[in-house]
Amino acid sequence: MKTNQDQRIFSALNHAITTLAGNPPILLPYITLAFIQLFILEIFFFSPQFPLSFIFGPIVRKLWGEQFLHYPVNFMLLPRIWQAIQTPFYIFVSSFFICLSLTALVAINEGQTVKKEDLRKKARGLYIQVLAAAFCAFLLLFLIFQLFELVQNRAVLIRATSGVTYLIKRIVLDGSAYWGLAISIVVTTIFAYIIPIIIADSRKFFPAFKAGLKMLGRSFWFTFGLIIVAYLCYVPIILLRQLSLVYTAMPDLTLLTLILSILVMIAIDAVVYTALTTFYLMQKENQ
Amino acid sequence: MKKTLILYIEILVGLGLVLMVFNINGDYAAEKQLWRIDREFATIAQDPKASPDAAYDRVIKKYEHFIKRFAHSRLQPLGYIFLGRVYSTHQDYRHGRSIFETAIARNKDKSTICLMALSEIGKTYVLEQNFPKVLETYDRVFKSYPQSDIGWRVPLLKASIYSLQKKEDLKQQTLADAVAYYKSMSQKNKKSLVGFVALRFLAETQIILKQWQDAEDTFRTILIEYPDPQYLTPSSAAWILRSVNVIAINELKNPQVAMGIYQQFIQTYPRHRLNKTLSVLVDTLKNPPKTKTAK
Repeated sequence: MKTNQDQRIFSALNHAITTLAGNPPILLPYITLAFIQLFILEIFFFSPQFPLSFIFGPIVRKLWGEQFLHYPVNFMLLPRIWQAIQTPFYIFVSSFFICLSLTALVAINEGQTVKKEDLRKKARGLYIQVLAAAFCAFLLLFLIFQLFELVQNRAVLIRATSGVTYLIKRIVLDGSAYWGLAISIVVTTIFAYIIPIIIADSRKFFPAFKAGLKMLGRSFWFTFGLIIVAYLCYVPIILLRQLSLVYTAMPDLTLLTLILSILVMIAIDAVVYTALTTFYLMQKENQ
Repeated sequence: MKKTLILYIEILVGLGLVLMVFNINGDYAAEKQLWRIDREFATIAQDPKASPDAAYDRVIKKYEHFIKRFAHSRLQPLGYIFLGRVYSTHQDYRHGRSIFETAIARNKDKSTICLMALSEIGKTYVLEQNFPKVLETYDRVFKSYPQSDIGWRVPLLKASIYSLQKKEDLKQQTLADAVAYYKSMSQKNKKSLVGFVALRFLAETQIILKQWQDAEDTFRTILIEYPDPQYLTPSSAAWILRSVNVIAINELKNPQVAMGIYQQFIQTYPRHRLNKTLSVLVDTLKNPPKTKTAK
């Protein structure tokens, strides 16, 4: 039974990758998304250098201080700025390109001829609903992170230097990056089918939310397993990020970590959303 | 899709190349290069005697290359300072000093660099225990940059050198001259940063000379004449109050002296932000907390 579930997960992921590779209209929005993110990162990276320093220099100086305009301290600021723009970027930009890709996927699945203009028109019509879904997902993510921060603050107060209590402290504090990943997996699972339903059935956010939770209830372990397997690809990035913090002799490693993080995260999103939408469409056809 | 992908890659790579070309010999590239060489030197400096000559030569070559490559960068003078430090660490003090002198000669208009170089020259003489030359270097600093951080401190530094040489008479004479110098500077530059700094050094010198009552009077003058936040910063205020308390309680054995200074300040400046702290201090000095005696 378990093996069957595993096979279904890997088969779904494999099918999603094949779908993405074989259908440029589905893949292109994710490539564009990667391009936009890398372009912004490139601008941020070169911001302390001439000629961009003319624009960004005064801003960085005012907000963070002169030292962040110089090598290698600028590499301490780069991930912070990048992290700060992630939330608005995901809600407003990423959600649109995910919407565009899934619209193409649904159209191809229905055997329609994919026209760029039609896709954009349909995606624009559904964008507000997808935006609401993305916003709610981030709200939930934010609340869970706030709760986790309370747990972390409590863990800091643990005075034990050995035993189970100390072990709990270390797990909570040292594994914060992995806890973050786990929280993302949980939130992605809860919202897994909402965007696919909005796109496939042209539904509004609240009915889609209800239907999405129903769908999740029917195929929880499959969905949860699929998302976990996909998100595990992000673990090497976390390790690389921790390495770049420890290995201070190469500050430029921070940039490499950010580039890889962008590419891997977009690849995960592409595979997960394609797999889940395909799965939803199949379930719908079977009904 | 291939066309779009190629276009995206071209834009990203093209932009990166253009921005890199702009900075090929710019300040950012210089910072990066300097940081890398400095890291290499830091490993040598951890154990200078254990490092082979080849390691020194490698770093020296890199600094020399840096100086040539970034001839127009504002960081180039630092290359000289760092290069000189490599020679000093290798105990080639003479060569080190010649590099520092070059840095001074080529950057006469940059007081920070000249002061760094002079300070490094002084350090090499200290390491050689060549005290007359150390004093000579201090005199150079005092003559050229009397109002720099080191410049202000020169009279005290000279006294410490005489102390090292166990020349007590010269030490006392230098400190007495320092008192006279700081007093005259504070008189000539009243209500200015120079006057404030002069008073701070006057107090420091009086503490070294154990002229406790004079030091308390100087602190009183500082507080009364320089109450503005630009002078009485949190750190300087903390230093002054701590010194006043320690001298009054431990040296003069008379807390009334400190209380008198604080009360005078509160009366002169009834709305000053420091008054809350001073009131607490006055109360504490009036009713000192009873220390627990061991049973």
